[in-house]
Amino acid sequence: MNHENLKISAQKIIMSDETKKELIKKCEKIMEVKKMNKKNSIVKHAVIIAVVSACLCCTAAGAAYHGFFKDIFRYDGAVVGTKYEQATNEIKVSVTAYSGKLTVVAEAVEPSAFPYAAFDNMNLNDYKIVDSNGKTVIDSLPAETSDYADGKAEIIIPFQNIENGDYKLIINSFVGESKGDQPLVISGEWEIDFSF
Amino acid sequence: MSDKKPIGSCEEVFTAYGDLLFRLCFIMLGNEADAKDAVQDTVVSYLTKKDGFKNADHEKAWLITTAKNKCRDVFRFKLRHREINIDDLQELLPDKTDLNCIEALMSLPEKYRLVITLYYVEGYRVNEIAKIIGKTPSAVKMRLQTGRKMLQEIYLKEGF
Repeated sequence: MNHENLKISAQKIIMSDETKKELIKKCEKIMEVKKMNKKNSIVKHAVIIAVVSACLCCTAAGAAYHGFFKDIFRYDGAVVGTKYEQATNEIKVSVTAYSGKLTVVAEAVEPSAFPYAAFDNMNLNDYKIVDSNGKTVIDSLPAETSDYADGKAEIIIPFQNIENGDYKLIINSFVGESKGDQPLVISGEWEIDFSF
Repeated sequence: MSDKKPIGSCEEVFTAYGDLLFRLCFIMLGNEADAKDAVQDTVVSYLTKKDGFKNADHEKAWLITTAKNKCRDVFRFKLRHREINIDDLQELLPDKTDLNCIEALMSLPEKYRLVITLYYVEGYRVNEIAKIIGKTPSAVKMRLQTGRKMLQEIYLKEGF
């Protein structure tokens, strides 16, 4: 065997059409997210400038904010994922409590917009339930999505052996899932009071 | 008029260089999953590049250098020795002669593997490889010589 055979053998290592298509799709999606991230960042800066120059009040500025994508960095600076932040105004949350179950309905205000349109499922990620004394009674227990369609998720939190009273659900993040993709954490601040 | 080569589309870069990048990353990393990740990172870096290239050769050399660096990132991230996935390799190279040949190449240390691949597989010259990997031509020649010697020893030992 001589070194020239290396070329003949190595050139048989090729990417299958399926792999090529899969990678093209992935790269295009990453680029789309990067573009959107950049666009949102520009919008965010424009909003801040407008707020400063026109001296608008904080509430008005808050209402104009949209969520934005943010890269997750590894220790060496390489991008290893993406998260979506400041989505408070983009998801409406309501709660129904009955017979040991707490049903949370999370609904995207614009279900046809990215990233909500890409999700196959959405669930709670970081949340807690506190009682009227501020004591945490449930902290990020695994919840189950019973139904997800058109940006609307019905999520059930097991809520048993809890005394009747007033409670507050505090959600810090949701997680959106789509087939073949890394789950996307959507951060924001949602607080809902309910009685049980 | 500028004769600069502009950044191509995602599909164009995969059509023109997909196999080259995959082959290089596979030989460097030893398994298909890591090779695919490295190719993906390389293409995303390419697509986010703002300036074009002097010409097609410059573009190709830039992609090879970036892929090499992405493979190095994977090494650093894993902080362990590379694992050759023999199943991936067998799937790509069903012929035993090809398999033995590439397995021998993949068992070389990284610095020799890269130089041997660029020289024998991709047909680059010593001076061109020196530019791509940022070493002197004599360092490339030394690596080629040592790499060849190591390959020869593997061939003899394994009885190819």
